[in-house]
Amino acid sequence: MSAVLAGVILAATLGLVLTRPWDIGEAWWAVLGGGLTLVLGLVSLGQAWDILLETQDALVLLIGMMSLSAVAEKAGFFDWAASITARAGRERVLLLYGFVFLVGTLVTVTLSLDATAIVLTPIVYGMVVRLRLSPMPFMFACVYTANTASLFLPISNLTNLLAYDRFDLGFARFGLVMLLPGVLAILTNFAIFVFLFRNDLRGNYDLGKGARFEAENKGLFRVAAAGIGGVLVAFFAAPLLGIPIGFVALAAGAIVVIVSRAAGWVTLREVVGSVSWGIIFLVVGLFLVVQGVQNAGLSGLVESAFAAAAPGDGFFQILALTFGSAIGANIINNVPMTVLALGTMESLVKGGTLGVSAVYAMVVGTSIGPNLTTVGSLATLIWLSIARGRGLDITAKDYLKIGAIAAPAILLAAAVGLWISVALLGT
Amino acid sequence: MKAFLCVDGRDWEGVVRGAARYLADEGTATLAHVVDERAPRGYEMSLRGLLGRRRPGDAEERMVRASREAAEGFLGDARDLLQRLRPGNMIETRVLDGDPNKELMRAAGEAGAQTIFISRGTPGSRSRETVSGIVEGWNQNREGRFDGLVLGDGTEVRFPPHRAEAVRSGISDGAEIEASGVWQGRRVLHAYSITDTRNGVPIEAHESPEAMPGERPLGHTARFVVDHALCDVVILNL
Repeated sequence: MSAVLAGVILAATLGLVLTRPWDIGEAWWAVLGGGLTLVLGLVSLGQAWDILLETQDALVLLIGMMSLSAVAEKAGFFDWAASITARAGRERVLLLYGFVFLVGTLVTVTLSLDATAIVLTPIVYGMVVRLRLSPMPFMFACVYTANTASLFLPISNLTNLLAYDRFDLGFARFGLVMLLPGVLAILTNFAIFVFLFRNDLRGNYDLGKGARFEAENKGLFRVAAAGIGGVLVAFFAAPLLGIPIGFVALAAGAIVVIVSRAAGWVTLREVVGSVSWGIIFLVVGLFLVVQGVQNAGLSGLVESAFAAAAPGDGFFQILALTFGSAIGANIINNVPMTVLALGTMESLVKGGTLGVSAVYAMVVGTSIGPNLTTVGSLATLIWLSIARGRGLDITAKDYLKIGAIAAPAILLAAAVGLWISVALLGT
Repeated sequence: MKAFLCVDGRDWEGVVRGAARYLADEGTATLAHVVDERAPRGYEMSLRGLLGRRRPGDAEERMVRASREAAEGFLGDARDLLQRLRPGNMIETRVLDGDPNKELMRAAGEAGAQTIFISRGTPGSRSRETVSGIVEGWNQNREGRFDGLVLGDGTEVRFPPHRAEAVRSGISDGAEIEASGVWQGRRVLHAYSITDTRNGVPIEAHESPEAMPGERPLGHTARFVVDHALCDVVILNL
């Protein structure tokens, strides 16, 4: 009976989180699902406490980084990055495109994909339309680098953080192992987009007045820049001293906010409003629901799927796990997919059935995988207008075909990179 | 002459200079641009994929505002240039929102345009694809001439009637074929070549674009305008 209940709660929670009926946010549905597992006794209070302890580092880190990102946004840090990009492009559209990829990658690596997707994208859009260029290729560049470049460091993506904490992967080690997959993924992504958007990326642009940046508040800009630089150095140093990276991020965020607040440059309301608090409830709720499934013994199916990928660090194991988790991330979104995968992979990795490379492969899949549906959505918009203009009959199936161009190639490049990386460096 | 010039950030100068060659010394000209809302909408859609994250309520609005400001900027430059080239013309500028094709047509109608000027634009990608299957039937046009074959899955492979003899002499009912071309609809392939897989000899259907030097397909907006305008349309080769 408990197995049926746990299964129904998992399916219903995932369905409600993804569809968001009555415009009720996904976090509330996750809280409802998690709450039900507690009320029905599918998960004990002790286990719930363990989940809080286990996820607190990742969640605290996110809050710290989002606070830092909010101050950086107010300081004009992202406008400055866009301005530098516009000048670096030397009035050649293709070169500008390359620099947008680079900035998107750097922002994602250092401030997480949230900063690129939420904050940088509209700023790049504004820059591009001021430069009188077609915005669509640049929108794709931002949205894609937010996912593709989120491989590089544990802090670049929530899914990385959850895996990093669960398997104690080591901050510098993670960065080292993911360097080659990340670089190959970004280069592949760039090459595909240059081909896809070749007509829009030809020629030159006039830098004009639209790309100059002057920080309105130089003091705030310096504080934000120092905060970002300092926290990056601290991320590499802290694990060596046994300090959790979540604490580092929270401390950096707090210092930057306190200094900026004391100087009257930002208000607490602004910072608090820029933090995605819902993510905390979403993650904890999902972990509770998945724990309920595990307690009921229903996770065996997923365990078998992972185990079927075969032990070891071979190329096909990495490939299977990368693509498998990417497909899962597209069906149920990458955060729920990671939560599900972590629960089932833990015993397999600890029991030696799977190598640690399997965890990295899962991280690659859940980071890059969402590009498939993202491109599906954006391509749909483009193709809708083209199709209407031509009076062609284009179906949803055709949109998916367009959406499937880039993501598999990027995934494959990252999987090859991970395989080489693991072979050269170990895990 | 009432002229209607469709411009965007990249082609405004070329369109103005090109149109000025045709404009009368005295007349009215409307310079119009439609703000492309697909990118802001795409941004909003991509954020929906990030579960649990805040969605800045004003970002989409800011993006549309930035687009409008940019449009006002290049429309102003376009107006100044046209005024210099054709000083006797009355010039107005319009920033429009919505579906570019429909909005341009609507605004041109409102302005009472006699001639619409538009650049070719960027053509959509029409990549060549290959389909295969068993020939299960043939299609004929209204004159009773063969112009297509039907595969087992319902796909129609279309060829021009003057190539029917060559196609039908090389392909028989029940043959397994491979056809290469571009999609014209969900189940209609505009074929460049059709090959019976048993002998591997390709039969030319439509002439492939590569064989026609200088062909430059119209972008979708230019094509829409040509298809729907109730007045003259001048396509500018920029």
